Amino acid sequence: MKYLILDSTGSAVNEYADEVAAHVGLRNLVAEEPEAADHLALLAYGDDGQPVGGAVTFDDLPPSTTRVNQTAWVLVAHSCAFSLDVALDFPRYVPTPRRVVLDPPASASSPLAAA
Amino acid sequence: MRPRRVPGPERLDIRSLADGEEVVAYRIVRTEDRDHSAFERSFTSRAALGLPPRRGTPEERHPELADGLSAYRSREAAMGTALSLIERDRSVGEYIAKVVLRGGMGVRIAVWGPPGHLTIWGNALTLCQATVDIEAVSSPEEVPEDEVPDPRQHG
Repeated sequence: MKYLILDSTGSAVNEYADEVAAHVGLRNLVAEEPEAADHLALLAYGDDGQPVGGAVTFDDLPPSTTRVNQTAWVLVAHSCAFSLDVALDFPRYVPTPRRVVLDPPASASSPLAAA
Repeated sequence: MRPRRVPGPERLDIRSLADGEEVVAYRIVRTEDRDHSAFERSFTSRAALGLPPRRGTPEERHPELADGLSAYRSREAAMGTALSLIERDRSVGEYIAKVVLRGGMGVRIAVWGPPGHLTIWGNALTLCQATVDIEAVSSPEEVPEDEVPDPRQHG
């Protein structure tokens, strides 16, 4: 199965090999360009090149979560504001961030240390 | 920081058609009226429409993609795609144009994405003139009235 995001001109914007990556791709495109939510659609194609199932729009995407591993720093975008969150002892599930930043630069100070 | 991985084709094999080569492609278009501006517009690329390359897409790696148009090698794939988009209120056209591309037309193509999908680069007017047939999008269940068999002929 291949996944293709099409725009309002009917041309392909991007291709994906799996559904999860396609969903993330659609979310990222809308994060970059919010008005694109009204113009983009995701389609799945079978090995014979025929569309499978219906088109999926941004509004159709299921709520997503991201598993946060130990010591991973996660920058989560909430609307226009940003909050810094850190997982300490156990995996947690948080709304999928726009960008997951692993291995922050050494110069980055810990908010816990600052506290 | 690791470079951001952009999904999509690592390499885009863009090629011109050889002399004598013929490729049939199906493009979703907005009208069946060849004289309507919307017809030529249906063969106008994102770049030609003044839309910038999208970030986080193969257009970053291959900016020339914004100059191209998506099409399908099979009528059924184009029809199914158009129908799926119409059903979700994302219509990009209610007609399928059958375009015959030939070497010497100044057209280039690249095959990528799902099987049978290709991007075409070419002059919009040239592509309009290369259209040999235009068909309205219909669901597979819909049978044109004149193709419905007359039961009297069988009984």
